[in-house]
Amino acid sequence: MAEANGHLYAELGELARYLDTTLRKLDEAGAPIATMSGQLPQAASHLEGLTKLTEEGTHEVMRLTEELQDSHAVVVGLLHKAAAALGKGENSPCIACLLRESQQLVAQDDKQLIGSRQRLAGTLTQVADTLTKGQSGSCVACALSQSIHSLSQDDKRLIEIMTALSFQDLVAQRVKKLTTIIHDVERKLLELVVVFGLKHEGATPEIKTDATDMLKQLNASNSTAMKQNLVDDILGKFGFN
Amino acid sequence: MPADPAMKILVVDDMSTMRRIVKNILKQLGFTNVEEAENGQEGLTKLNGGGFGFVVSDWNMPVMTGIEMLRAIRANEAIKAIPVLMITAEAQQENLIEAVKAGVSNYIVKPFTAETLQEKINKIFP
Repeated sequence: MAEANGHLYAELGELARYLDTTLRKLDEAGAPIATMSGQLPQAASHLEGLTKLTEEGTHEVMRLTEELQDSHAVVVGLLHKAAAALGKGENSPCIACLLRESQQLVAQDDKQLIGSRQRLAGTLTQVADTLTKGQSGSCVACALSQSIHSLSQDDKRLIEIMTALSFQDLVAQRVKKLTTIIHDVERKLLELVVVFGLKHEGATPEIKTDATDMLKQLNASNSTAMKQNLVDDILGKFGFN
Repeated sequence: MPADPAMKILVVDDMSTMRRIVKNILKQLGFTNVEEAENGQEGLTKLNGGGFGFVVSDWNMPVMTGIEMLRAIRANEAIKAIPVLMITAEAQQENLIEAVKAGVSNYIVKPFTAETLQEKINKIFP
């Protein structure tokens, strides 16, 4: 009996030591867990901000693309009109006028889309000059046809740009899933904090990790980032032009 | 019957960028009568208003998903005949089968091209 009791006390002592060690380890883990559960909402918020940033950027690219598409539609309309007038044998100055108008619109687009637009504008100017000089004929019609074809090729590229922007939707969907996961982890960590009574006193020194620094940088970029006009104002005060 | 360019089309997607992309491609294909909805519920409300000939919808949306909206369309005598094209990132075989069972008219996986959309529209409106 005494031997059995001794064995029982030894077992209970072992269990008590195990519980004590476990509680001490949990206590040590308390601060990091509490810190992490505090950082997670911020991380989730930054991820949501990322979606908003890509959405705004994508809309801006779309706006410019749509402007180019609309401008193309007007130019193609003018070119078709010029080609039809040429076919009916109408006077060259009138056709040249239509072409100059087209050239001006294409030149405006050049500010946004360089390259093939410049070649197209050059072709249209040459055609208009030829017509003004009174030289008409099949070469003019051919150049017009080439210009329309060139615009049509660019329209295809513009649609490709538009569809390529669907990346934003895919990115947003993944970010949304990540945010959901983060919220779930946050909830579980909070449960741990509550269940084990883990405390993160205000006086407890903040545990410095890479994540802490990165969050600080992200927060700073949101709250203290300056717009370029403010930067320029300040630079101006220091004598920068 | 080929698609009527004047046909009223409803684009349903919670992402404004995707609605704009689909709307833009439809415009380039000659369809200018396009309305938008942000989720299946809003889509159904618009469809019940009448006049729509075609629906292009996403799958994953808050409030009411695309597949739920599709089932509701097929269960409603007044709008059950409207063709529904799904454009979605849900690229699993079971998703496609679920959509087919629910009565989808065709299915496009994101990312997609304008040619794919045109090809599917041509198949829906031969």
